[in-house]
Amino acid sequence: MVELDLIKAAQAGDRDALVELLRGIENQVYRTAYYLLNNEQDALDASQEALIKIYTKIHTYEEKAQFRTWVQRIVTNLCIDKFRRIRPSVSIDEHELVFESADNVEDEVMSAYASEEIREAIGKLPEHHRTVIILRYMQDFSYNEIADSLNLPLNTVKSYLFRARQQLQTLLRDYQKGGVRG
Amino acid sequence: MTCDEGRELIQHSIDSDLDSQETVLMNEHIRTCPDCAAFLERMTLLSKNLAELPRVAPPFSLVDAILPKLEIIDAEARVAEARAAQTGNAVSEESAVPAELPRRRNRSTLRRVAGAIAAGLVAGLVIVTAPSLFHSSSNDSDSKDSVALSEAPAAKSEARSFSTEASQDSAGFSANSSQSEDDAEAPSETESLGTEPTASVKFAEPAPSVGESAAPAADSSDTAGAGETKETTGSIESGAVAPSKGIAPSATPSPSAEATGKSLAGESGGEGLVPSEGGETSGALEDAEMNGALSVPFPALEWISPDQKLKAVAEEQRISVYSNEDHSLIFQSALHEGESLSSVYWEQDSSLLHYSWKDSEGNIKDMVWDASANVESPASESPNESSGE
Repeated sequence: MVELDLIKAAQAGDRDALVELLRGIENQVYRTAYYLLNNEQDALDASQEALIKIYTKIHTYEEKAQFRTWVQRIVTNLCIDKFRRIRPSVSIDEHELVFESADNVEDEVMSAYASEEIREAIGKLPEHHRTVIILRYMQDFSYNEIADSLNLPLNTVKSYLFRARQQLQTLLRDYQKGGVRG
Repeated sequence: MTCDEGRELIQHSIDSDLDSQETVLMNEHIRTCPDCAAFLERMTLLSKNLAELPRVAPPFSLVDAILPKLEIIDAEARVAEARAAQTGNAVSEESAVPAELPRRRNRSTLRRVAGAIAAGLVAGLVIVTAPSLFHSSSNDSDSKDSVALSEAPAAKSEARSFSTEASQDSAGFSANSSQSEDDAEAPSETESLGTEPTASVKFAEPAPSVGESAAPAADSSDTAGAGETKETTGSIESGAVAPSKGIAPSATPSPSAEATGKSLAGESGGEGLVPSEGGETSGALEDAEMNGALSVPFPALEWISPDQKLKAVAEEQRISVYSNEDHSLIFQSALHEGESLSSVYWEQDSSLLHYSWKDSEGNIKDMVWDASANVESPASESPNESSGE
């Protein structure tokens, strides 16, 4: 059964269809949670919670939204809540200052970054920037899909994404320098 | 073009979000600005690295891991809805959409319909417990899909009209308006049987063995067993059509339960008919309750323990527990006159059976029966209530 049929069946009360639907999305839910929370156990908890929420809220899904953006909205909201509980002291302003000041130095030699470094760098982004990056690259979402998922204006999404990439680039460059210099 | 504008274009280009004219503008700027050219290079590399991040997958199936939790959620939702219906509260938002249609029906119709459910169960009981009293009918019918069960001869003509309607209207009577045929014909059965507290008798008790014995008769019979059988079909279908929150509950299904359902309801109703399977029966029950049919006692229902060894049965004004193997009686609660039973569910490890009694004033007594000790006691949240034991 294709996803749309499964959704309709699930909304009509077909529990098997709903469970099958969940199986179809569990990996993408987990992937977002994993990169947002940067921790396997937290990601497992959050993605299970998200799947349960989808299970209980499936009737509220309306076809005018894409199912996958609806799913990502649920998982990102849960992760952001979780993230705030884990790291309540981090504020976006703090990050902005750091990144703004470091952004002018552009003399480094470019090379590929290890995925571990990238993951760590993503973990240092402010939550909205991080979320936008993850939806863009881990879910291959368009600007519009990200905007739908996060309920943000399109221009805000672009602004977050562009800034996030610059911040990541700065962080990774610092990593490399740190690595080279020991 | 300023470098800020150039970098804005570069960012868009990374996302393949430039039209041809913008691309030309960007390239022109890059040719004259080494900084922005380096910026493009860095962004391109970063974007490539991001896109190549491992597509991690969970180490185990998350859905499998949450299945038990989902079953608990289903059970809790059923309980909550039953309670909301009993107390006349607005039903939760979850159930509003799927249950909307049936809830519009007027209450008197609903009472009669619910009565008819009970009547149907009684008829089913009589038929399945005493198959020798009936003969298989070779009469044809308009549809092979009609209720397949040996029929009571006296009810034949009425039965046919019902069964035809049942097979034509896959949604059961939930889509019918109140002046439909079932309303016209149901009352005599409804009033005599539906309001009678014994309506649920011990249907579930003999059920497991009955499924097989009734099966041969069902094969050769195309017509409905009795007028009220159709009502049973329709009613329970409506439970299936409008299950709570669109999530079909599935409590521990058992082969015997399925056989029973089939022998009672034949093929016309599909899976929504199984009266002795916890989850789906609850769906039908909830539907009846939500629709105001509260004066009707519970039809006989059973809840098989997760380990399949025990079977709780809602009987007239009491709950009993039987062995699911030899059907011997293990526990029987005191009579709860004028009270209704709800929220019946087994602990996952089958050690405890939870249930609640609600009296006419709406007071709810939560009870728990301990399987190992064979002791009934009030659940901890209502310690001041007596068990009635």
